[in-house]
Amino acid sequence: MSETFAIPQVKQVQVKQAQPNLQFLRVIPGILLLAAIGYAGKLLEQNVGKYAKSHHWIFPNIEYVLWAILLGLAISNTVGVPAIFRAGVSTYEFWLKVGIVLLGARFLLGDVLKLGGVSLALVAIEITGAIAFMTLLGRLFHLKPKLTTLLAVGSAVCGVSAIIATQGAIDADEEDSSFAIAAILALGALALFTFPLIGHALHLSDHAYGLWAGLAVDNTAEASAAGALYSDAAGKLAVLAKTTRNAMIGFVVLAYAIYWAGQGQAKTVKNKAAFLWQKFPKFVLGFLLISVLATYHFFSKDQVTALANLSRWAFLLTFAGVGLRTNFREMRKQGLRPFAVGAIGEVAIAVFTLGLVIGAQKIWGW
Amino acid sequence: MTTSDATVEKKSEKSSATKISWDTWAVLTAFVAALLIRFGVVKHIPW
Repeated sequence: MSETFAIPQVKQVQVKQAQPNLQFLRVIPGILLLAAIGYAGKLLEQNVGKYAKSHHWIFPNIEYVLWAILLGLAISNTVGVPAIFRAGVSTYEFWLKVGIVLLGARFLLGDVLKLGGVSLALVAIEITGAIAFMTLLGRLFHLKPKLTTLLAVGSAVCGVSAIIATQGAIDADEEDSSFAIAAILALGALALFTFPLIGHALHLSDHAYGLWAGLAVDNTAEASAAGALYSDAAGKLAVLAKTTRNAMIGFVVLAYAIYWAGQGQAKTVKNKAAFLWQKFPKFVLGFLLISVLATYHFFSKDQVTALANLSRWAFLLTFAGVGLRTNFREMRKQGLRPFAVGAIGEVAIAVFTLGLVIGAQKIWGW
Repeated sequence: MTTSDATVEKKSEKSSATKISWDTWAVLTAFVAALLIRFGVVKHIPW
């Protein structure tokens, strides 16, 4: 989770004193596109159901989340995203993190500690099991060891961000990380459509489903969307579980960095504390701080509602971005074997985490 | 994010450890918004 926000660059601003804001302007068309698609999704949710009902059609109630993703997918996989919009569209992860921080206002600290404690225990089991299983699969399919490491980290912890962080730490090839990222993104896109169906088929509670989505779906944006597609409450839980998983990224990447350095195939990590801080997702701290402020009534009830609504708007931009950045043609180019390993691993992790959640549901009676 | 976007992201990560990260910008933006709401500059956010 150490992506850099490439737009406000100090050096360029110093050089171009006469045009200090032009770099920032590059993102505006894409952000407007995200907003337009997100808002269109919201309007479609409100109006398609009414229209179908007035014409006595049987039509499923499709939420704004799915409309926004579908509109984005349609654009990305037909006409494509024009170059002028790309810089702004790539800010969708920024809006995701803004949304997660603001969502902290809807969690009282006690809930965070209680749910986060349960999530942490399940996350620890999930990470251990997922890494062991993906490593075994990589060996069975004769994948390169570092590609196996990237797939293991991507599916165990935190998707694309974890892969990028690990690639730098273990000196993996860029081609390997592209393979791993493509596999994780393709499987995340599939999870968006399959997880809610499975959740409904198994009659999972919002709590159990949200926890499952947060534990099993790899990329934070897809995990949040998969949760929100089920219900608002499930979306909240999915974000909390996924945030707990994200918080583990530094430890897992550090362990792999030490392992590969021991093999003489990566640089030695000198300052482990600094390494952990660099890799730690800072938005987790922002989420906790807002939650503390909400717990101690820094915000009134109306203000918490306003913050929650602002969080929804930020997520709306994210969901539009998830659709816009998913290009199936580009994913197909990356080859079948890493995708096969990722797919088998993801199905196994999904079944494993579903078992964990159902077990936890019985113990805690959600 | 396409894989090419991710490559750009990786390069930008390598090139500038001192730049403010996405995470930090996101936290700052969220807190500015929260403070604007807290101190009544923004009173209502519709949904």
